[in-house]
Amino acid sequence: MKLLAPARDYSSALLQIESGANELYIGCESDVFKNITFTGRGKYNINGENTTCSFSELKDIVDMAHTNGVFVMFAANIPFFAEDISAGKKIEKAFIEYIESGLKANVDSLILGDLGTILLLKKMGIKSHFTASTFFETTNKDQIIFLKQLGFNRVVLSYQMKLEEITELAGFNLLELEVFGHYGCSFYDGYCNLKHSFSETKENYIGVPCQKAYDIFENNKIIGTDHFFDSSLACSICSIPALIKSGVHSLKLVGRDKDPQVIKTVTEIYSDCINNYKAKPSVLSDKEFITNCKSIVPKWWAKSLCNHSRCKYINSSIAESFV
Amino acid sequence: MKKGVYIRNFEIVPDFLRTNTKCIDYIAIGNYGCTKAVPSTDKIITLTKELHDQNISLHYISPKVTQSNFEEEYNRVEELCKSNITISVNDWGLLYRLCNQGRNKKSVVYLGRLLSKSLKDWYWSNIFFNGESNSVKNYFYQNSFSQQLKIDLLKEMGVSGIEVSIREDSETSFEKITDNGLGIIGYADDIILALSRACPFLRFKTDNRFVDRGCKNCHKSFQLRLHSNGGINNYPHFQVTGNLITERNTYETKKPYLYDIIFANPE
Repeated sequence: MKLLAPARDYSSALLQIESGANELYIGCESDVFKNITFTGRGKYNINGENTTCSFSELKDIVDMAHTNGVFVMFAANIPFFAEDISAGKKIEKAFIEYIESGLKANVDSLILGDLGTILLLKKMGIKSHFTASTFFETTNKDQIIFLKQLGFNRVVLSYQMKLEEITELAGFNLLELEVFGHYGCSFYDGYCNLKHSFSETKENYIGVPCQKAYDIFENNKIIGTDHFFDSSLACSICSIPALIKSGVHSLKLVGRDKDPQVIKTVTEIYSDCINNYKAKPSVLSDKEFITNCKSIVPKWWAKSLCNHSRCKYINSSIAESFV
Repeated sequence: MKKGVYIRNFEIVPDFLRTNTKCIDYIAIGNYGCTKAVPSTDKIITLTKELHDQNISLHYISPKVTQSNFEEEYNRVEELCKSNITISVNDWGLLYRLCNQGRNKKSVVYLGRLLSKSLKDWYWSNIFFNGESNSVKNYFYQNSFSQQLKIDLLKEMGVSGIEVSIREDSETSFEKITDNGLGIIGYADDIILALSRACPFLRFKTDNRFVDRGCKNCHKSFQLRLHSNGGINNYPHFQVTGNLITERNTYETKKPYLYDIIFANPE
């Protein structure tokens, strides 16, 4: 199982590779937009930092990654593609240029987030390794078959998966499966119209809607205040043996907009845990593995995550409420 | 344009039929997010026959499915297709299998609201696109199925049209979709904001603050408002029904001719 980490520039890419990432994903800016991008996120994070790189830097990043045997995935997963009615079809043209520039930099895979993008690229005869973004909300075998027929090579499963479902889907060996390792969304990301972190500034900051406290009314009477929507699951290190055994191709860490030093810590811990398991898979019981992993996580991680309330792929009160 | 009502609670359909069937061509039942919240196939088919006597047609909304409940829902939809019930599908995998495995050719299948989108549905789209050019804004405010390649794909799959939340900014793109021979079903009263697999009604089912909780009452709604503004940009007033989060739609279309059916909520 590979470890896939986010990068936003050369130094963060190097940081992730040195921390043990086997794969990177990264996006670039596009001149046709001011604040948004083709990458499925805004160009800037809340601190005003650019979370995309230039194409010349992308080439350097890919060369460095390939020298280290690291696979580079190019984010072109804007979750929307429509008919371009602008003069000269400049948005569609800009998207094609974006893709061609990524391929020219020798990226290994294109991450796409809308049916229209794969249809367009196929029509234009553009060949590559294609990854279907989590925006497709793939949760079942028939959707994987559909995506395979469209030309995808890999699929990023929904955040909202149970371990037994991942194991079953991986067993069909249809496409490479990528699953989320750390952090997540409370909602089905691909259907979520409460999108945030799309180049807001501190002045117009939205926050994270699913994590907020809400006053709850029933029949116009307030009955309480609670984090009613918050069901995000955060950590999967205890599930690493099960994910490896199931045949998952890649474990994805998110955080292109986060501090690269924080993501570096996350990458290091996941890399250590994966390598510890791979070193002696038959000797180490799952319980011993979990004990070893918990001994290497920093205190802040253990305090906020090792209380069994936010575990990915393990039974919890949140997972029990999955429909 | 035909008119319909979307009734979330199947149990009240008989009462509704006794009092409210004038000027109604369709009743929609079903759910976007949970297969447990939809009635049995037998009940749906029985209702279809009762409605037929009153010249009312039935429309079934098929939920998003996972690997765990796929077969159960597929079998239901396949059976309903045999009864010529109009169906909207909210899962690509289910739609793919339905269109590939020789469903009843007379059955009418629409792409559900979870799968058709406009970025204008993003509640804070005004903030994200604020600095962008008008041509960029116009592009993103369309419905994504205005793209010719997608229209061609849907027609190849035998899909009759798409479902949408009725929005003024997207209606120009709806015209392109209908000009290309696909139909549009519009929902007038609400806009889908989000769907969670972790149903809050189940998460809070042992919480005594909530009188109506758990699966048996999931058709009832809670209303949510942000507890503390804290200088954060305006949040919608949410309506939560089961695992679906919506907000009220206040736009009244001036182009009803665009829509095959317009569904409203009876409440």
